[in-house]
Amino acid sequence: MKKTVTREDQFDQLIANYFDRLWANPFYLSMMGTNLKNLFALRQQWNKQLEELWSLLQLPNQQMQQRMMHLLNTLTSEWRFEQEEMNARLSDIEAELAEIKSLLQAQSDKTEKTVASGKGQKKESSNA
Amino acid sequence: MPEVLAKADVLEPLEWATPLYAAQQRYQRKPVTPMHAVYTENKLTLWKTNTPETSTKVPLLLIPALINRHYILDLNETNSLCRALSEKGYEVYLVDWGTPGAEDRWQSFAEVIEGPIHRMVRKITRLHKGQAPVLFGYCLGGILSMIYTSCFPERVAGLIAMTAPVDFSKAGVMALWTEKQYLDPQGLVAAMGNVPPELIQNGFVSLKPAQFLKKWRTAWNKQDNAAFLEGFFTVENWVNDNIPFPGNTWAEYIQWLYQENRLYHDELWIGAHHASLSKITCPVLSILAETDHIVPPESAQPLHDMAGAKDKTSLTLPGGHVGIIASGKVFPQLVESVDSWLDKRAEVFTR
Repeated sequence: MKKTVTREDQFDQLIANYFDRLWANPFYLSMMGTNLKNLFALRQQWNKQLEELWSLLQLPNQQMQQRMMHLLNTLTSEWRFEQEEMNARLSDIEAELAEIKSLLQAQSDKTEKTVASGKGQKKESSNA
Repeated sequence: MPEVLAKADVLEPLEWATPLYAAQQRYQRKPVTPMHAVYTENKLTLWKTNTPETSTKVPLLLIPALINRHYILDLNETNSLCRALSEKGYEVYLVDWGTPGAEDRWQSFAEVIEGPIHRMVRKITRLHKGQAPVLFGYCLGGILSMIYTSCFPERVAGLIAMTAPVDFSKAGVMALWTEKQYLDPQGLVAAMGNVPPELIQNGFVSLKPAQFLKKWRTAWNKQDNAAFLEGFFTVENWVNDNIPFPGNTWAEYIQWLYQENRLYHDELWIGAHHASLSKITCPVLSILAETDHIVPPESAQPLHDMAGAKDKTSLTLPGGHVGIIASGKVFPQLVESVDSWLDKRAEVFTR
């Protein structure tokens, strides 16, 4: 079935075509790019001035604080994770050890019993 | 006039509004799949679905993009990838990146791969007694997943990358906007710190302004349909619920991947690891969206060609970048395809 093209569809198409052309226009893009670069440079200058002000007051500036905070976060995450992993491995090893111990205990109990029963049998045969 | 005034005294302010406006104001996201946190660090939380408690199937780690909220993978009752896959018997883990603070602007791109992602994979592997997980990445999460798999191939059982670009030179208008002569990512970060969510959101809207108008016109025309409005605002709420992008991560992401196209040219290094797609040896499923204007299929297709794995599958589904997961028609297809792909390789994953 053929879809009828409505006035809204035509309007959408018009807008889509206009913006597709605009977004790919090198003149427009380089103009916007230059504007952005200037805006960033202005903001960077402002940040720099603020930082200098803070350092004049012998205080750590925002960037220093953020960096330190990030480092602390990273180190804490790593440390907590490794500690958790190590504890988990330790408890695994302990569980394994306990299992081995109980196996060994069971084995030694068995050998003691066989030795004891062997001795009993020998005594009985010597008595006879 | 007195009658109107009397009405105004009785009616709530929203009842005067159009159904569309009222629905938007009243909309509140409801939690969908019951989950519990298994790991947290900094702002990140790793969630695990409550059911199944244990499974013999391979664990799945779902990695969403850094710029949006994680709940796109657990959107609503009908379109929740977490729920759908857990109902299929998989233990599903979902990454919630949290909201980055000002200090996170110093987080580098490599730190994301070698830090949180590596730790989450190690955690899941230990919880599953040495069983490596399958990574499922969506959008930027897909890029992170494939880079992680290239760096640590022995730690990943399988890779599913959904709408994740590899050849950034074919990434459409986004590739054009981020060209070196137009955008200085380091300059932006030095000036602003984290990239504000509004900037990213406006960027996405500007890609297709006509679509934005069309979407709202459709909503206006269907404002008497409560079910439609519920679905519409669920997606709309997610789309607008952006978070700041950690500055340094963004700058390196744009510079390394968009401007220098390092992943495609095999020149990407993450710390001491060469992130070469040829190092990926596990089974790979690459999912593309047919009408994706953010990640055009031709920019995501190279994963299939470049991955070193013998077992590679490429799947193209109808729909756009968000539609692939939010559309009621496409979503069941997506779930079935992923489940059957995983099911066929169950022995390989658990070997």
